[in-house]
Amino acid sequence: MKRSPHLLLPVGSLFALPGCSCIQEIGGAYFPAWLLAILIGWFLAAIVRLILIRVGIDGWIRPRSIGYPALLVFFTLLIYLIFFTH
Amino acid sequence: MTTQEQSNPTGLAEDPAAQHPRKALLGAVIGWGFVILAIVASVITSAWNSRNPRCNNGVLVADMIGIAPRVSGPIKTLPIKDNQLVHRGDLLFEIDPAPYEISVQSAKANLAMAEGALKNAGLQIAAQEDQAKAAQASLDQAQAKLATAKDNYDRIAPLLAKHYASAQDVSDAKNTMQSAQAGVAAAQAQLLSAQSSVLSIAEAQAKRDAAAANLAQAELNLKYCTVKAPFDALISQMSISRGAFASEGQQVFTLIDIHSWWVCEPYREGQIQKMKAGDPATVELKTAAGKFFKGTVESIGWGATPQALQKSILPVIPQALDWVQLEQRFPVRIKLADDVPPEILRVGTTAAATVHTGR
Repeated sequence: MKRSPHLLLPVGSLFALPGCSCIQEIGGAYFPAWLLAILIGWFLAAIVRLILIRVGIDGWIRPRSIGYPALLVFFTLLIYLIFFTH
Repeated sequence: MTTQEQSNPTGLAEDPAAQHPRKALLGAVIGWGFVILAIVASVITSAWNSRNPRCNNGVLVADMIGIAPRVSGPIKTLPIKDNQLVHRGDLLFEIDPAPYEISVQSAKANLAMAEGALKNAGLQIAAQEDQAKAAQASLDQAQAKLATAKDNYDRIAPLLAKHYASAQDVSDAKNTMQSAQAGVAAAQAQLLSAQSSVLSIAEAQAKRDAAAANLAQAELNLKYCTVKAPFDALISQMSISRGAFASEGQQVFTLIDIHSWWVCEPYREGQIQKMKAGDPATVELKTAAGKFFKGTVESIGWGATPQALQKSILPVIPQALDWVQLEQRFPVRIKLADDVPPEILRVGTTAAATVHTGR
């Protein structure tokens, strides 16, 4: 358990491109970047779901209760790692 | 597609998975794939965050000093303006030096007087010492006289018995001897008096030294009328204009040292565990959003006032203790690299930092 993060670090550093600001200014206030990442992640997860509905797989997704939330988490973290780590 | 969806409601008597085994398998693979991706991304993010603790609540700070004149007076020249850059040694302002120049002249005159007095005292003392020498000589002379008179008496007195000398002669010799003895006593007294009346030069010397110190102080005060920049700095919060009266010790503006920029980030106690002085950091200043600058962890604060240490005559114990407790934060000082463009550096700028602990 203790070793796993170390093994994954080189993968993590691949994402560490010079990124965007980790606090985003919206209308004179700073919002944390993860909030923005959640919004984009939710949007991407919704698009994926629309595609899956179109190809007729949506109804077969198992486990249905955590599949799409997991996808939201995945996209959120992916966006965060790509754009907001530096 | 929608008809398909409607034809696959769950919980019906017939098992839809048995009818479409390939679709069921694909759905399970995709669904569990999402879960696995989320877990992998979580582990990577958590490892990244733990290696690179981040804080978004910092401020940009520089060393600052309040400039206050060391002498009072109206401001005669004020060549600088608010928010201006000045270099080390540049004139900041000048206080009307006229009264201080007069003080210097007066102190110079006092010193000259004290030096004259010292010289006079020296001469006086030399004269008094000469008098003491003269008194010593008188004493020597009186002692010689006494010796002669004594010799004379000693020679004449035995001759009285043999009638070689008259009683008058002996009496005269005795009187002469006694008179010489009195003369010696008088000369001794005179010598003591002359010796004790020789003055000491210490007082005049001390007066001269005091006058010299007064002159030095007056010259220093005159020098204080001209105030120069102690380092390369930015002027801020200027609260004075030309002609205004500047009082000694009262701040007239602030100087921001342009070579001392650092970021103060309140890191959580859990985050500073892996941090140490010298760790590289990436700093973002919101005056140049989207740009990242290099920095180095200079030091980590050794304390932050907890609630229980607030000033009171008894311990401050709040009745409501939080069930969910927030982490304590400690200030971490991150020194900015020199390549940051100066136009974005302002004290108080919001700063976000990521420290790369490498662990």
